[in-house]
Amino acid sequence: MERRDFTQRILGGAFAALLGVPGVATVLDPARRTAGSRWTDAGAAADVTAEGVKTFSYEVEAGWETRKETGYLVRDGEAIIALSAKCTHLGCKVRFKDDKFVCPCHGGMFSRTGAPEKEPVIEPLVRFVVEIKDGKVRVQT
Amino acid sequence: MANPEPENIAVRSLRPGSVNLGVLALVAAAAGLASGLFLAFHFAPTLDEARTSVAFLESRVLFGSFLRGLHHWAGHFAVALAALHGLHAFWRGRHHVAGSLGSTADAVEALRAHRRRWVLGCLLLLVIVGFAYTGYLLPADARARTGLDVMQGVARSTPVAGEASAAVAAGGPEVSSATLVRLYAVHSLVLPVALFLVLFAFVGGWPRLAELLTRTNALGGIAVLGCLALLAWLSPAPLGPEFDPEIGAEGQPEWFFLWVNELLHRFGSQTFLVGAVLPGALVLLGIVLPWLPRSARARRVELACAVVLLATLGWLTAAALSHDKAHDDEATSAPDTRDGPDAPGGTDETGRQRTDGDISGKVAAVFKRFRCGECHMIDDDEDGGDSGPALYRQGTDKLPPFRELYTRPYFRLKVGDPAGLWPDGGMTYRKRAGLPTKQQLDLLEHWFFDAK
Ligand code: FES
Repeated sequence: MERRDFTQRILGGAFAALLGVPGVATVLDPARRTAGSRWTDAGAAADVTAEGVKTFSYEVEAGWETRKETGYLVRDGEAIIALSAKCTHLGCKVRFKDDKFVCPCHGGMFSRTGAPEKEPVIEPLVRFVVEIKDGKVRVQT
Repeated sequence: MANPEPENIAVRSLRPGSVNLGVLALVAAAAGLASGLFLAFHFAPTLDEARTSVAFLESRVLFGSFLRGLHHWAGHFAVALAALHGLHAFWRGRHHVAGSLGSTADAVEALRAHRRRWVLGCLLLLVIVGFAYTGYLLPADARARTGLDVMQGVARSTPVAGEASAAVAAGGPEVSSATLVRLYAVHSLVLPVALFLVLFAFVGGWPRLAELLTRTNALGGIAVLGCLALLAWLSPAPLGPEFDPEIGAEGQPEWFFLWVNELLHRFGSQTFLVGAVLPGALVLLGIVLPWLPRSARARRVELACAVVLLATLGWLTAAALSHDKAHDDEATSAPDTRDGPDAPGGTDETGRQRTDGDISGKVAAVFKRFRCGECHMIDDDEDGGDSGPALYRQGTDKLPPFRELYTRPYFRLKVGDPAGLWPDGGMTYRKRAGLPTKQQLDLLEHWFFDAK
């Protein structure tokens, strides 16, 4: 009886190890992956005016897909700022309204240049690196 | 326990010291369930994404290929072991109650329990085959797409309610993502639940499972797991090319369906009869065995019929296999009409006739079509590019670098589906010309490995 329990236990252990280890590893696998950065063309610099914002779209490799995400370009004097549309509270997509970025989820608010303005938001919107060359805007996302 | 009979049979039918194939089939099925649970995290059951998501798992996810290999082989083992277990039971006459049948209440009850158990065993086998059938269709590669069409075709051949059956099977008028979602629901929800229910009744409750794991069976189970691990490691689950409408139907179903496929092939006008009625009748025949007359003579007839049936199935399977091979050969040797009128001549970019007569016309056409020469120097052709390694036939004394790393399967993956290895796979031709067909890949493989 004792020995039978022993072989049963080995079978159980082998089963758990053989299936559990690779299985759990595949589920945790996305943690190994970080989004690679790439340059995206975001149109003409002249289109980004002191009024309002301009959207641009960029691609992110996620799983087996390449997803399109949207970001915002805003004029700040001479410079152009590229902002992620992801709210820094919990990640909802913000909207531009009345010269502010408003988050529909919990009422957070950012200024036109992405500075936090209303709780629960405390961090500014993420800025991407921007390069302007020959009047064209390129953004590193 | 309202009815203690079944579990008594379950345990009584174990012979101490010898390994029970049914228990081994269970171990394989359990491995299939466990690996499937994790695979579900990585699978997108839509026509456009299924193959992509599987390829991503295979090539990019750590242990992904191994996990899918385990799932694949667990399925094959479960089918084979369960079928053998059933045959063994039949051979030993388990469908009949041993001893004389009295008319006492006990004897009647025993007979009922016995038949019930036989039927449950048949259902269990059906469930396992159902897993394998839906499972091979799910990746939606070229072979599976062919299988999906056949499934719909057989359903459509149903008399009277043909269109309706086809629509229910496919989840719409044509094979689509809705079809895959249906199959996925069956594969990963309906069948597992069915397996648990039928198994529960078959072995007579979970505590019995532990009793079934005698020392010998547990050792056998460990051996099964060892085989699964080894096979998953050495021979990963296949993933065919993407479905290419220009090529159309490709590939054969899993081995245990080959006989049906062969019948469908031979009796083209009798689809419903051979594709649905006949398999159904065979299943039914298996189920009603315990109700057939029992006498020494009946038993002989029964065994003779079984032998004839098995031989026929084996012959049909063999015929399907050789047929498949002949088809492949034919495809390889037939001129590839997809390359346009100038293909066999092997002219190069400037329209000049190639001087190296060594490369036979068809291979040259493939090289040309995919513009391999832009990056590779092929067989000392000076015009070749140098951003990729020089390529030589097997027969030359010059071998390309790392030749020994190129096993045939790796070659097919690297050349035939480089994105399956890693993004781009270090090959750029697919951006220009798409993926090669199976025939083209065969030609290249032959040139690379066998050509003198
Ligand atoms: S996610 Fe934007 S405020 Fe909460």
